[in-house]
This record gives sequence, structure tokens and C-alpha cells, in this order.
Amino acid sequence: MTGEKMKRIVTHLALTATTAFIASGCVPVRHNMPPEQRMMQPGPGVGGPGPGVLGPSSYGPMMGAAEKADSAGQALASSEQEKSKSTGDKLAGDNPAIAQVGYDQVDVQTAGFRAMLQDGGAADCNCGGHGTAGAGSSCLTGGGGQSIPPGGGVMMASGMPGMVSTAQVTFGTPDGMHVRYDATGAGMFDSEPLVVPARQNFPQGGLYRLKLTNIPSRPGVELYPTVELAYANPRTGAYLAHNSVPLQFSEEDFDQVLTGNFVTKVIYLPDPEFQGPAIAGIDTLVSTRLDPGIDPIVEADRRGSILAIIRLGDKDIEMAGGNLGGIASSGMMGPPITGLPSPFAPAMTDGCGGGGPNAGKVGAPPNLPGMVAGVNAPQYGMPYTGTPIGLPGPPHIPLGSPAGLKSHTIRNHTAMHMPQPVENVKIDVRQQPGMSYPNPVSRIKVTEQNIHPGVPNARPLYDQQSQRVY
Amino acid sequence: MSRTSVLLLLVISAAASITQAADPREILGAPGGHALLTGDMPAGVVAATRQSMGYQQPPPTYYQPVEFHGPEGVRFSLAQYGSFEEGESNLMAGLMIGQVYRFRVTGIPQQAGAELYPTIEMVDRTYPPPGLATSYPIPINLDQNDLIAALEGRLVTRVIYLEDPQTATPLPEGPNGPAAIDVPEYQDPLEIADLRGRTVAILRIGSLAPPRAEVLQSQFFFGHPSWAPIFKPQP
Repeated sequence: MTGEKMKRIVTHLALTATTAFIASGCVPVRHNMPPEQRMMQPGPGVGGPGPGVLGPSSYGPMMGAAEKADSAGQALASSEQEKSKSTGDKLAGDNPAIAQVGYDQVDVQTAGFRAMLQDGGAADCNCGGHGTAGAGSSCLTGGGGQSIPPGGGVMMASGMPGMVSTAQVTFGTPDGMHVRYDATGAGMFDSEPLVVPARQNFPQGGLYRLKLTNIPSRPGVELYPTVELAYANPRTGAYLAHNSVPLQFSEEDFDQVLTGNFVTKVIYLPDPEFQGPAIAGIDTLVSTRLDPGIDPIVEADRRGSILAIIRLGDKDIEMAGGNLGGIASSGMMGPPITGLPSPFAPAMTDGCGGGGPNAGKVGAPPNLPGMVAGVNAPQYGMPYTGTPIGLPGPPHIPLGSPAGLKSHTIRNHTAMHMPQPVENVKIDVRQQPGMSYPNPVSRIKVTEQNIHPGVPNARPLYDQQSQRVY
Repeated sequence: MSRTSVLLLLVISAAASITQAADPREILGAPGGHALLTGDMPAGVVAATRQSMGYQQPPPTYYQPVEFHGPEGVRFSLAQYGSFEEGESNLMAGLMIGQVYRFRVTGIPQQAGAELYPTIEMVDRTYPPPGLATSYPIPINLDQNDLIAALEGRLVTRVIYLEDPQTATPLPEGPNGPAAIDVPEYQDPLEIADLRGRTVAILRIGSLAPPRAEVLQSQFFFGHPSWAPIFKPQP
């Protein structure tokens, strides 16, 4: 009888403890965060970046040399260039010391990566490579190449109104092949032929159509590959500032193409974990050498940072009646810079590693920041989910009959736990091992000993007498 | 009895949920973290970030003396407004902290006509005794292996650091200054250098050729930072 009572008490105690656990919320909860894409929105179905989701903050005026990635033609208009140059000369004349060696010039002579630190939203100028830049704090800042930094002085590099980041490309093999590109933006292969091996600077972030002629051991064959150059990112910036991207066409590539296959070659900079101790530098993945079903672009992106993608097929772009394969519609990237090839489309590969808001957006102008409400994203606050009543949304069904729907109820049964914002944060900091300094000096004993006293060093006798005090 | 078994089940399920709770280590990965600055960052970022973080504030126009060394016959010359003068074998110059300088290397042994255009990024300065700054320049050594590797299309990064006197390794010094330590590809030279001392400069050697288009010159030369020539006394 007593035993059964005890058992009941124990049972009730266990029940009470379990209830207390559940009521107080001490039961471990596995938190399930919404997808990353939804965290960037203020609410379900409402566009625009959500409140509290801000880009990386500025690193201050030190980082202030953002690269102005104006559209190339506008930036390099000659009148603008002359204007800035004359302004710069004038300012330099007023205060030559500042213009020559002023420390403020440090702000000007910076790398494109600093722009990334400053403005996380601007996809193009973020990845703008290693070039120096004019002044300005944002990609959208236009105008001349000089301004006054917070610390005074003249931020004037060299009368340069804007800068295009380029990647140097080396055409390595086969020897003697001729490579032409679109030099004037007219959609033709009107450049002087480059005789392989040759080098050429290409603006980053473009898709270029090349024409290969005079291929050794393949007389009469003309091929029209495209080369897509990614923007520089923090991983590839140092490489692109010091090395060229080798583009090589092997005999195997030509064999594959001439038998009707499509060859994709991806040149990438492997991440350190994919680099052996003996292998350094870049690596190439070729679609024809990979197992079926493996995308070379995806695989290269997994192993490192993509520098360039070559796509090679046997389509004759210049055949009469064709539309030049889209090359005639150039102008999306603006007219070319003198001496540099003209792209016919912006690159589809986001050199910033993907996942950014502008990743994979083909149609967006490359110098716009990632999400601009009303430009490349829905107007801020506008619902873009279809609703059966009102606009926007799908047409009412059946089509043609008057609108009859009067009520539309959606119940949300999602379990929600949205905690309140934290008001006070306490952080306990402990450094291990702790600080331990020796005790400061509190007593000093000085013993001076002369082994050989030599001549007596006492005060002279004449000095020991009383002296007159004025 | 049945009530007890139900409660036992409840307690067991609570315990099971405790054991199933996600361990942060599963999500966060191995400890150690990611370094803010790495050696393969674009030239200029390390120096600029260090200065913006207030680690080091040099006087506005301090020219840190550096001395370039290379194999026999190699000549160095620094860019002056986009052009290079005839090189010197042991070039000495004062370079500003926080800047990136492009220089030219010619006369590489067994590579006739080859030219390289490495960069030197000045991260920090040294503090020699007053008046003896040019007697203790930062040695910038380029050995034959570096130059050959760069000509083969690889990017060689050398991090020059000032040894911590408490932990310095007693290594024999070569004819051109301290010996280099080879770091495997998967290790960051900047991290190793920070462990052993204070990074003062980063040398990057690649095979990029100067651009022909004039609009790209300033980008290539990192804005033409000024430098001070140092003339060695004639013996």
C-alpha cells in the first residue's frame, strides 16, 4: 500500500517536472530559419531588401577610392578626359606639394577590391579588379576624376575620368593561328589579326566572339568561339593583376568541334584545398574530358574561381543570311574603348562567386548595383504574388466572364516563433591565458665600484672654500 | 501501471529530443576561423586595410628604403610616369608605405629578352637608427626559381617580414640577405609571416605584360605612386 503511494508520488513528480519543462520553454528547440532569399525581403511577397538587411559598412575615407564603372563610352569621352586633366593640372599648379607626394593620394591609388568593402550592393564595380580609380564613393557616381577628400588635399590621380578593368588574355596554342575580334563595336571581326602566340587585353565581364583562322594542319577551317571573361573577385584579383589568362585550343578540341561536338573549356583558379603542393596556378576543365552529366562550369565553380569560359562549336557566324549570331546587336556594352575588344554581351558568370543578388542576371546592365527597386527588381512595396482579386495577378477564371470572386481567404498555419529584438546584450570576455605583467619597479639599488680608482676624484681644494654669493 | 509507462515514454522522448538538438560544432565547422587578410588578396588591399584599421600611421611622406636583389645580371627599374629607365642590378629606392609599385625585371639569366613586371606592396615600415635608414633597407630578393615560375605563368607571392627578435629562427643568411622559406600552396604565406614577425612588404611576380592602350596605363601602374631614388655612394 505504501509502495504504491510512493510510486504515485514519483509519477506525479515526474509529470510536474515534464510540464514545467514544457511550460518554461526549456525544452531544446531546433530553430529553423527561413531561406536566405526570404530573409532579404521585408515580408512574404513584397519586394525590396528588408529593413535591417544592410550591405557591408564603409571602411571610411581610406577605402574611398571606389572604382567608377561608368559605361565605358561615357567614362572615356575625350572631352571629359580633357576637362578633368585640365582641372587636375590647375589644382596641381596651385599646390604642387599636395599633388605630387601628398599622402592623400593614397586614397586614389587603390584597388578595386576596396570598392567592394565599401559598397556591398554594387556588383560590377565591386568586382572591378585591381585598377586605380578616380574619386567617388559609389559606382553610380559619375563625373570627373577628382574630388576633395575629407582630410583635404586633392584626390587626383592622373586626369583619368574612369577606368575599365581588364584581363590580359594569352592565346598560347596552336602556333601561327590567327585570332580576330570585334574592335570597333560594329559587330564585325575587324581587328588586326593576332598571330598566336599573342596577348590582348579584354575588358572584364564581357562575352567576346572570336574568329579563328589559319589554323595549322586544318586549312580552310574557320571557327567562331566565344570567350566569357568573369569579373575579378577578391580571390582572382591578385592573379589577374599579375598574370594573363591562357586560352589554348588543342588538336583534340578542333577534332571534337569538327565532328559536331560542342566544347566548353573553363579556366579557373583553384581554391587552396584543390591545389596540390606541386601544382600551382590555374587549371582548365574541358567538357569533353569530363564524365557525362558533369557541368564543367559548375565543377570549376566548386573547385575555385572561374576566370574565363570558352565555348567552341562549328557554327559559321558570318554565313550569308545569318544574323551574325547576335553579334550585330552589340551596343549593350557601349562602344569599345580604343584598342580594346568590344563585347557583344555582358558575361553571365558572376565573378563575385555567385549567390549575390545580381548573380546570373543576363539582362541587367553590368554597372548597376544588385537590386534597384523599379529597375531590375519590383517596385518597392509592390506585391508580385498573384492574387485572385485585384491586380496584379492572374486573370479570373473562366476567362471572359465578369469578375465574381468576392472573398479570398488564406490561412497561415505555419508555426511561428519570431523573437522580439534584443534590447540589452551582455558579453563576457575572457582572454586565455590572462594578462600577467611583472610588478613595476619600486626599489632600485645602485652599487658603483671602481676597481682601479686611479687619480683622486674628490672636489678640488679650491672649490671647497666658501664662495661669494652675489 | 499504464500511466507510469506513458510518463516514462514522455521522459524518454524528452531526453531523446535533448540528444537530437543540433550541436553547433556540426554547423560551424572546425575552429580556427577565417583570416581577415590573406596573401592572395589583390595588391594594395592588405596595406590599405592595415592603415584604415589604425595599425600604423606613418608620417605623410616617409619613403621606406628598399633594395632589390636578384640573380647575376638581373636589372631592376621602377616606373616613372609609365616608362622605365635603364635598370640597375642592385636598385635602391624609397617607397611610400601603403602604395603598390610596379617595377620591371630584365636580363633574366638564360631567358633572353624576357621581361617581368612584378609589384611590391609596401605594408609597413622599419625603424632603423636615426640617420641610418639607407644603410638598412628592406631587402627584396627575387631568385631564379621565382622568375622561372613567373615566366611559366604562375603567380609567385613573397611576403617580406621583420623577424620577431624573441622568436627568430637562427638561419644562415644568403649573399642577398635572409633566406626564403618555401610555403606549400595550401598555406597562406601572409599567415606564416605574421606568425614569425611583422609583415613589411609583399612581392608578387607574374607574367603580365604592360598594356598598349593608354587608358590602362594608370591601372597597370597602380596610379603612378611617387618614389624617391637613392644613390649609393661610389666606392
